[in-house]
Amino acid sequence: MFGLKEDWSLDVNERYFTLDDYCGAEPRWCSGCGDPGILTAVHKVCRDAQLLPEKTVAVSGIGCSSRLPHYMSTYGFHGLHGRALPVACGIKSRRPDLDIWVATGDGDCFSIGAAHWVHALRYNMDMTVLVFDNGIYGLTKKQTSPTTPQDFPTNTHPSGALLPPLNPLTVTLGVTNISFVAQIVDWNAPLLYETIKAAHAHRGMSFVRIVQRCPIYVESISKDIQDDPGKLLLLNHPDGIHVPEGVERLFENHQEHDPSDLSRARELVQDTSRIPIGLLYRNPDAQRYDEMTRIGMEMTEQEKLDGLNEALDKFAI
Amino acid sequence: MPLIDESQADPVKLIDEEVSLMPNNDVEGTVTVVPDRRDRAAVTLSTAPMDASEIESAVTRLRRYHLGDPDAGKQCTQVSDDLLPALLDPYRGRSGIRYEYPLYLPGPENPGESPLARPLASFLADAVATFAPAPEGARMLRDNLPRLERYIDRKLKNASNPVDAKSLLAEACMAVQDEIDLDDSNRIRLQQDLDRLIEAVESGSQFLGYGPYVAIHLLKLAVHSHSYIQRTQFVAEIDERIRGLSELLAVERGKSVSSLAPDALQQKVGAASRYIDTRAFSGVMEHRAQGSVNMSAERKGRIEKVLEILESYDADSEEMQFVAAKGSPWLSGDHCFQVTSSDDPCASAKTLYEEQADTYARIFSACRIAQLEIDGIYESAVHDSWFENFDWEAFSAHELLLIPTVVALVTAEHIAGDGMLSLSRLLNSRKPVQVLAWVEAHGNPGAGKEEDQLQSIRTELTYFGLGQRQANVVQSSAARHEHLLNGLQAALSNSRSSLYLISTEFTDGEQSPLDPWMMSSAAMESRAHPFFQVNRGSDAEADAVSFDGNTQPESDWSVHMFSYQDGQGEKVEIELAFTFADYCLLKPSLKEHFRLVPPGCESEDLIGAAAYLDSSIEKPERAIPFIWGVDASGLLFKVVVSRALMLACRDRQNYWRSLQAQCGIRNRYVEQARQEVRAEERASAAEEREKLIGEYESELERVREEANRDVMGHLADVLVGLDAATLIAGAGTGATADRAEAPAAEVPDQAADTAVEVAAAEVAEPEAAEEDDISFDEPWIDSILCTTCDDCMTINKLLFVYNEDKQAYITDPKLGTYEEMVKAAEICPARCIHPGNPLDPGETGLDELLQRAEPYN
Repeated sequence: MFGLKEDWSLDVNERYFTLDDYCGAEPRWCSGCGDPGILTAVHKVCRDAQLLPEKTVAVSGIGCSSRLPHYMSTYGFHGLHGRALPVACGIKSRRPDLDIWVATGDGDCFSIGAAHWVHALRYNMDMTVLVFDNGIYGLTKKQTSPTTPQDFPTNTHPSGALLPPLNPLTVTLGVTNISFVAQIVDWNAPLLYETIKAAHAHRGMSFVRIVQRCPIYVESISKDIQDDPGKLLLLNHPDGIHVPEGVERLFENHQEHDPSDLSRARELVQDTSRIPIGLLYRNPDAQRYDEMTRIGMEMTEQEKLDGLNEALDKFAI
Repeated sequence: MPLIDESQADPVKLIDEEVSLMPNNDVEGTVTVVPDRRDRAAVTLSTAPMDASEIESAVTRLRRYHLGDPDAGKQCTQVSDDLLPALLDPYRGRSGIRYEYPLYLPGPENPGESPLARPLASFLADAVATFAPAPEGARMLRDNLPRLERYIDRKLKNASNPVDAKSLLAEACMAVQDEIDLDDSNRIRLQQDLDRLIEAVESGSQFLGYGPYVAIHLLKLAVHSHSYIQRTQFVAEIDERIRGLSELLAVERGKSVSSLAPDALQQKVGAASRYIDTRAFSGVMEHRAQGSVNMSAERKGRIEKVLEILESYDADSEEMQFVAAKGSPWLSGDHCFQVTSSDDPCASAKTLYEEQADTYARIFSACRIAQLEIDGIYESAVHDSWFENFDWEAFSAHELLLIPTVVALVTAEHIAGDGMLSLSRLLNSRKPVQVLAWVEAHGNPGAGKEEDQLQSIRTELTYFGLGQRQANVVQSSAARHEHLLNGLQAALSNSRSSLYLISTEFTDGEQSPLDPWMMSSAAMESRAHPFFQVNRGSDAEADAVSFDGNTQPESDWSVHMFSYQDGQGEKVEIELAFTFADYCLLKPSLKEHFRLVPPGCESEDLIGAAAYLDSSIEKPERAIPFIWGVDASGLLFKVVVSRALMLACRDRQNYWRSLQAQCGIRNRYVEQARQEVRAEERASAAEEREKLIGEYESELERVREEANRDVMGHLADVLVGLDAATLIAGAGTGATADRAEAPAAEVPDQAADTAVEVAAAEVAEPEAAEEDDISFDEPWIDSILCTTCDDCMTINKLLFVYNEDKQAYITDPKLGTYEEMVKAAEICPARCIHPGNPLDPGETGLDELLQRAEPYN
């Protein structure tokens, strides 16, 4: 219109951030670990969105994955085991202006933190949750986690894990009021970046399960998947994750999946013969608890006191 | 980073009780967001409760105002200064609107470059692509190109003249470095790219901002690109003629006795004369005149005269000369071109051109005579009279381009008033003089200074130009540089007089609510200043006119979608026309032609201006036209338009329709011709269809008969005793051999299929072979797939490093062994390392390493 093209605005941010501006301490993950790739993808998303470091918080619990806040040059909260999500929800409820990233693992989130996981999903507060799922307690040297494959020998079950693993996505997709659920593998860097970028762009809780390699303790689990791309199923849809050029050919199996179809998403994750990769479900209209908790935040202390007095006066005799 | 103390072992600032998480508005360096409609609440319809009687009296007041009752006008609410046409509200208060200015103009030595001028944004992007073609290359620079653009744009805001591109870009680069304040390593990396960007800027090139003289600068650019090569060639031509004539005279001088004198000999021998005793040399020579025939005195005189004229030619003379009316802004403005003042610029420009033409007639005739003399074919009887009467009308097209372009700078008011006669004479003179006229799109150039601009039918200078029949006419806007440059180039190419009617919206004394570029665009969009061109260089009259560049040329008004929230908070989406009345709402001097409709006042009599102007409305006498306006707080109002302004709208609509008809849109004859062609096409198609159906049916019949005949023949053969065993064998194992021997015609389908398969195989094989052949001697990493796992780094930190995106690449294969390369490929979880072939043929264990490398190459 009026001779203006789509990129008609020349407004630019006052500050500019490079990738280095989001990089914190030198990562101390093991050589060959999948975590650095996830960290790099997070740094790149922050850089491309030009997030203000002082308006960004990385929150974690305990585990290898939970070292991530140390490697981010933003605010960070390295919390208690299993408590990454309640801490993140607390921050969001009082500081809705902050951009919140949660790094958690299969043990941290699906075991000790399982209760918080379920309720945080239902609260659907605006944050990006990345679950580094390597199927083992790596930091404490190879104990069975909820997602360790059955019969896989660990230090707690030397003759093999006794029970079939938890399917975290069937649980996630069974929770009320979820709004964004995606799955990705850590070794596909371009698609990992696109998935985290889409998760960050979503308003509400974006839950991304990342199938992650641990070459020290459970190398065979991820290696089997890496060696056989037929075990993966790439989900395509115009409303799904953007698949960069050339990435599609890395997948033997493709399937069209509408991310608004919850029933179909549940069916996909129940089929354990192939790992669905991409956006499983998105509901941008799901209610957000952070929008409710922020009500009244603009009130002054006096206004709050007055309100409190008014409420208490009702009980005066 | 301001947050982190890098001296700490762990730079993450963990949140604990001592660190406040409460909102802190004092955080240093937060992003500054310019007030933007997109960041505020949506436009909301202003509403208020009104009962029926209030509505009725409001409508009555508005109708009386519309019809011209000044008392009613006083009772209605005036529009505020911040009220904008609804469609332009999103651009309110924007500090940075990216439009096609500033422009990048190539250096004077490279005038033929296409396009002549390029928008800064695309120039910068293209310049970066020259040294960083990959999309992710020079990432920091690409990210900050808008910063460079904004700096240059601000520097050139309303600038009168273009500025040197290289120096301004260098200044912008320094400013950007200071602004984003990177750490040392990133600063160095960015500086390297900035240096390469500055290097990519052509020497002598310029940046041109959208300023008051932008049309003149674009005209200068067009003229320079048009004549530069001719002028350069002409200078070479003159040098050649001077050399030729000088040689003729030298030969003549050589025939004289005086040429044998020692001094003359010394001159002839030149630098080598110091080795010769020229006096002795002269002494031994026979001192008498040489040659059989001497040049006649008449010829010698002519040659000397021509030589003198050619030597007096000033190769650095101005390409253009400007004439402007006394007291006009071009005489006193801060610009870089010379302007002569005159009471009557058009007449003076014509005279100036004639003077220039006389001067150049002498030069051109001298040039032609010189060539005739050099060729030895000048004949006084034939040529003398021709060259005595040689004037501009005898100039070739090539010569016409060499005459400095004379431009009259005028206002539309001047040429529609006192200067009309001179303009008419100029345009009819066939002399290629240019008239550049500034048009105020909302005004009437034919109206007197004290007269109401909307009172009478507008004087359309486009039609005046059309009436002169031989002149080029370009109605355009400096806001659309491509349209303007195309018009200028087309007009300059046919060496006729040209009238350029240009809108820039740099108006004296009136404060416009929007940037002049936006105002000028709005003038074009509202049909206040439609684009139109008449190029007399075209052979066919229909090709001479052009309507290019207008928005939605087939409609009366350009229409765009507009959305707002109604009183109930529901989103409403409507189509809005941008009419001449909308454009006039931008003019503070025309505010009296608008009154606000009170919020909540709904009436069937209130009709949108575009619908009102459409003659099909019912009860036009009751209708009160309105347009939509939005104030600074985002409230949407209906705004009633005065009858006088609506009459002006209708006048503009009629003018627009007449231009449309000129260009074949809504033209009765064109429509008629179109219908006739359609009918002819339909008839021809029906005829063709009938013919094809007939052919198809006869062919079908023929095939059926042939098939029946073949079947019956085969059946008869079988029945008369063909060997049944052979038939059976042919159907089974012997089929291949039989098929090979059988004539192709008997098994056309199979043969065709086989041929296709073979052909496909032939096509596929080379491709497959090509794919198989793909290999790389050099090792490489598909960096985009790298997962930053550090594995390769543990093998060799010099060989494998990370790029700007923390993904690995190979610095120099010589910094490591082939064994390390292969190990890295094997260990890489993303399998993105390709070891290639060994660089050192003497490396031990190569056979084994090559085998290991094979799966990764």
